[in-house]
Amino acid sequence: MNTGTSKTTRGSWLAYIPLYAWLIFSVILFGWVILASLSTTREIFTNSLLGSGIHWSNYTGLFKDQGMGRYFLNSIVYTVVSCVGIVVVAAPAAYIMGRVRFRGSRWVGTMFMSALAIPSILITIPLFSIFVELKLTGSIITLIIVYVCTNVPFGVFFLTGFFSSIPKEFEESASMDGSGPIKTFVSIILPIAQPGIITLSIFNFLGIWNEYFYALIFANDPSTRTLALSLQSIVYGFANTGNYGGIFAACMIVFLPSFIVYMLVSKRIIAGLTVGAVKG
Amino acid sequence: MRLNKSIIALFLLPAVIIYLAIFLYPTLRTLAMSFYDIPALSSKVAEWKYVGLVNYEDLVHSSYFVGSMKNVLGIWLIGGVLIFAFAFLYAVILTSKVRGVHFWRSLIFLPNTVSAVVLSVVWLQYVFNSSYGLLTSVFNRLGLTALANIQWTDNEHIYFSMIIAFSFGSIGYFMLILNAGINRIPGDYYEAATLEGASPWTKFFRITLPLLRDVFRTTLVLWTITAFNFFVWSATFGLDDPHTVTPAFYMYQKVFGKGGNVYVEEAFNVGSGASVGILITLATLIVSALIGRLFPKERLEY
Repeated sequence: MNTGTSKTTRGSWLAYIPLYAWLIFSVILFGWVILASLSTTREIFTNSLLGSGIHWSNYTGLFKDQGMGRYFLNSIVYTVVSCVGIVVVAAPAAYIMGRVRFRGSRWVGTMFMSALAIPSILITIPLFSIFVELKLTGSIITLIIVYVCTNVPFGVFFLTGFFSSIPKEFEESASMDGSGPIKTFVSIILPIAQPGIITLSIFNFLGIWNEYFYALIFANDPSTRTLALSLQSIVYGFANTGNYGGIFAACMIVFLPSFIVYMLVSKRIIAGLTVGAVKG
Repeated sequence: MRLNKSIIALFLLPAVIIYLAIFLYPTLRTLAMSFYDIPALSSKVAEWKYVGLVNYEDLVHSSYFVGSMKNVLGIWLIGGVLIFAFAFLYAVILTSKVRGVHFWRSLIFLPNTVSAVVLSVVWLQYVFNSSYGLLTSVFNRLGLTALANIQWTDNEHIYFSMIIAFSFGSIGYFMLILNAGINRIPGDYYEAATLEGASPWTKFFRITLPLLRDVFRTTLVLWTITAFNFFVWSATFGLDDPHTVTPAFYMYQKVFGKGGNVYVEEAFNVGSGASVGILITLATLIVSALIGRLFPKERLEY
């Protein structure tokens, strides 16, 4: 698109310098970590990565001795269940917000918007007390509840636009066929809104997979820990025992799932992000 | 469209109840707690002791907390300048007819999708490592031994190292928003300006910058919220180092910390942690309002 910063020939050549600088830095960073994750600690310290071939043991050791498989599974459960839960709660609410005029609808909309501005630090102390009273601390369910609840307002906000753009004729013809509102919503409206729901779920997947603050407070013991949290304690232990190959292998295990998702859907993520942000 | 009330309630209630239980109630309760002396997280309301503004006064007089506020303001300012300079540079480059815009955009946004723990470990254990690290090797190869010998993660440098590493992971998001903002400016403006004989620089300063005012306001507010709640990197990169502690992390250490750190002797109660949360929120609101004043809503519609 034309932006007025259109460059002369010399200018457009200059424009690539910062881009390639970023590319080279990223390639070095992630390339080095991949190689280091397959090398021995001695090779890392003597700058001779992969000097004695590929050491998969850095990876297998993490699953055998550090229980990383457990944390991996925990993170998958947290992420998948929360993503589904967010849609289950947010989609019906967004449907009403986007399509139905009712008394107080503006008030409810403002309410969800205000939740987007409330910092997590502000709600954590009472939330923790509530979970203590409900005797829910130390259980996988706690963090799932926290993830679902804290992401619902954004989900409503994000999906409202998708629902409001669906033509009314869909419901009208459905109700003429004698279909009730719940059935219409589930079998007609939801499939049409699928692109929005998928984009939202991708955001939520990346956000929850990498989430740190709530995980640290609500799931910081060995049986409920997330993958990202376990990485930190593993790194701490390995730095003391001097297993640097293991440190970088552990990084790769946390990094790869989100990277693969990002590779598959980066176009969608970027489009979804910029739509909301610029209008705001 | 018309739906009967019970259906509206059925669809809307779960989200509304979650809002009331998870956002509204805890916010009000935190506000109340900040005026009480509360011995433990599990204390019943009957055990709370009303102390008025004492929690706030104690915080202002705690040198450790004041230090954490200075840290967070530095992050806001230094990190903000770093992030916006790079984000704006890349946003402009990506609207200037370079090839492969989609690839470059995805690449620059990539660090934003990586866990802060992974990014921290890679920066700490590779880029900043003093024996085999990237910076040390590059500076050694260039013969710059003075630079090569810098201990990037010692007391003196860890704060700035953290800001650099954090900024790398945040540039992409702000680049995307600024980029979308520039793309939204209608091409006719530039065509008209070109016909009038305006140079690229004139167009940039007279068209692009003024029309981005709304986008600047949005991104600055977003950045302020992010910066004032700065927490994760103090934990993953700073690893409890007092030089990287922010108010949010201070609150975490005091309220949720498992004890055993140097600062535990300081008398502290949960109510005081609540006042930290209130202070952060107030600061965010005030600064956001100031930003709104500095960049008033654009009257011009386009």
